[in-house]
Amino acid sequence: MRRAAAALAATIASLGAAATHALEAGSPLPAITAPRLAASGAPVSLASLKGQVVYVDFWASWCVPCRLSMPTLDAMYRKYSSKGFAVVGFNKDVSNADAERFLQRVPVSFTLAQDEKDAAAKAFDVKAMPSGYLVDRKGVVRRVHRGFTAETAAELEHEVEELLKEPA
Amino acid sequence: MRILLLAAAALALAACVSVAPYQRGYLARPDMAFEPSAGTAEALGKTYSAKEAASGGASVGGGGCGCN
Amino acid sequence: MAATERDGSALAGLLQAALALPILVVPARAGAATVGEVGFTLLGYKEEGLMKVTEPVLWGDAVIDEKWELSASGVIDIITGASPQLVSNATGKPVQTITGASINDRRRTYNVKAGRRFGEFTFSASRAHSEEEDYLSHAFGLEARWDLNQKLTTLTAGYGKSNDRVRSSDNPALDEPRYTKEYLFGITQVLSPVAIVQSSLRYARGQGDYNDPYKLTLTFYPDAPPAFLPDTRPSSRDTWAWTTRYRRHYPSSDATLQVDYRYYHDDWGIDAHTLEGAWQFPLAEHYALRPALRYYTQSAADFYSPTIPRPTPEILSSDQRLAAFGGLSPSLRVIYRNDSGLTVEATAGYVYNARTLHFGGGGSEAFETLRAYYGLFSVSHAF
Repeated sequence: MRRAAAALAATIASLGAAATHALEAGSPLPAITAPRLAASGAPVSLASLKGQVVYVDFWASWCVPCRLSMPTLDAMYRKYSSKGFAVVGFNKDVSNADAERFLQRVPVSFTLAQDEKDAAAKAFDVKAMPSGYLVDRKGVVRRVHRGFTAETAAELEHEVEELLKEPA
Repeated sequence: MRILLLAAAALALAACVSVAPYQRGYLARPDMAFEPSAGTAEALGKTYSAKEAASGGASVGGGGCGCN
Repeated sequence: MAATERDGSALAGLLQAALALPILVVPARAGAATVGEVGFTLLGYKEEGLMKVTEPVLWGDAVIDEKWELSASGVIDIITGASPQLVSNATGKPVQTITGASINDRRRTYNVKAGRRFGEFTFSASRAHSEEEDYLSHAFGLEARWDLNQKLTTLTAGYGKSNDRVRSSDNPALDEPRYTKEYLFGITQVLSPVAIVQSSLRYARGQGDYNDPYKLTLTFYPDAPPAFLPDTRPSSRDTWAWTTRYRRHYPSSDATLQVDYRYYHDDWGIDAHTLEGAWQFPLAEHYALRPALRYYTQSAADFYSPTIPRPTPEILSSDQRLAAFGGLSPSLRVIYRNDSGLTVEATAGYVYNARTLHFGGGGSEAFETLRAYYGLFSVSHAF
């Protein structure tokens, strides 16, 4: 009986949690720390990236537009990383093996992170795949891209260039 | 009473199906697709409909016959 | 590839037709923004002593820059053998008899569909053309799709129209029209991270010639001269098909359950149920096995009769496809899929249709058991 009541309470609580409002432009960058994907080394800490322009991307091997977004983000990262642009890709595959198979076909050089128990996806309130959050040097989300097309790529490049000009 | 509570919990869950967009990895698997592949669906559909009275599926605008 | 040797010209024609379709030239130009698949399917079908069909299907689909959806397919059916044409009770009870020369028919079909996404909405138009010696069909379709609730729910509405001509290889004078209008409503709902269901209702209203020019009925009476009647059916047909499909994945065993059910009803008096279940599970790395079982049952059309009653009715068909019967069809598919996007599928299936398999008993006495085998081979490549 007590267990059943707890289950019901948990259900209601989870429904309530799902109703948190979206992370939009103007919100501060959530301070997430997550293990790296397909690489060893210190966990990825978003807070430590303050001072750089950061693009936080949520992707998966099963996400169709990610086949366009991943190589595009990699090219952008290579072009602007020396000017202070960082990309963090949170993987949403159900197994790391799926993600690694995708990366063999679409290798990327930016930072990749695992998202255990959906902690980051929940903190960013991801509403589409892929979703990208462009963060300025002060750690404020300035633009959210949901889905990814050739237009998104053009817009994003322009936005990155503009944000890189802003002082920290 | 316990059954009633569990039923209520199940109902609450069913009524508010919420699968986040990032939780759809399994749903994107090829074996979760409704049609196996266009070629297989086309070939098998014609094979059965040539022997049965019933026809028609989940789409419109297909070509007719091949009834032999 | 056996078909290439046996019927090189047909396959060459198909390839030529396919190259004319936009789909196969698109990927080369659009680059990384294009995702899709091209494939080739070959079906061999063998009915006991009756006919053999080899059916190459070439198909492809693509989504360009998340905006345009294109798909196309081309088919050539090659039918050789003979089809039963006469139902006669000359031997005492009505049986099917094969008369005339054997059929050597070829059916060419192509389908193209193009859609454009506008945010949550997708609108598409399709065109289908099918041509054989004794049947010609031109069809088009319009479809609207609405993704709502963060794509957890998808609503579909469709309208289709086809203009067909019924002909006969025995009678060059025959050239009768048949028009069909179709309406479709469908809903797809994500139930959980591992379950999804789709349900759709299709209504079609057809008018024109439904007679089968090859089917005849010959009946001997003990006390009167024999009667002979060509296949005569109503000049319209209203059909309803309600299709529900369910997919459920089991991550612990990496297996997927696939269940399809269709209820069919028409104003000829036919009610039919089709239930198919399949279980797909991994065999080894890259390999999966998919055993499936399909059950089908239908009631007879109101005007179905293997003998001509007296007085002679205005409409009558002895075509056993309009009889009451049921069918069981087990199949086994092996699927190979590698990391570079190549998928190879091989399916072996058996079809057993019999009077005794009619649901609840009471199948048509004159229904002659059908035993058929098919093999299906498919290669596709995702890009």
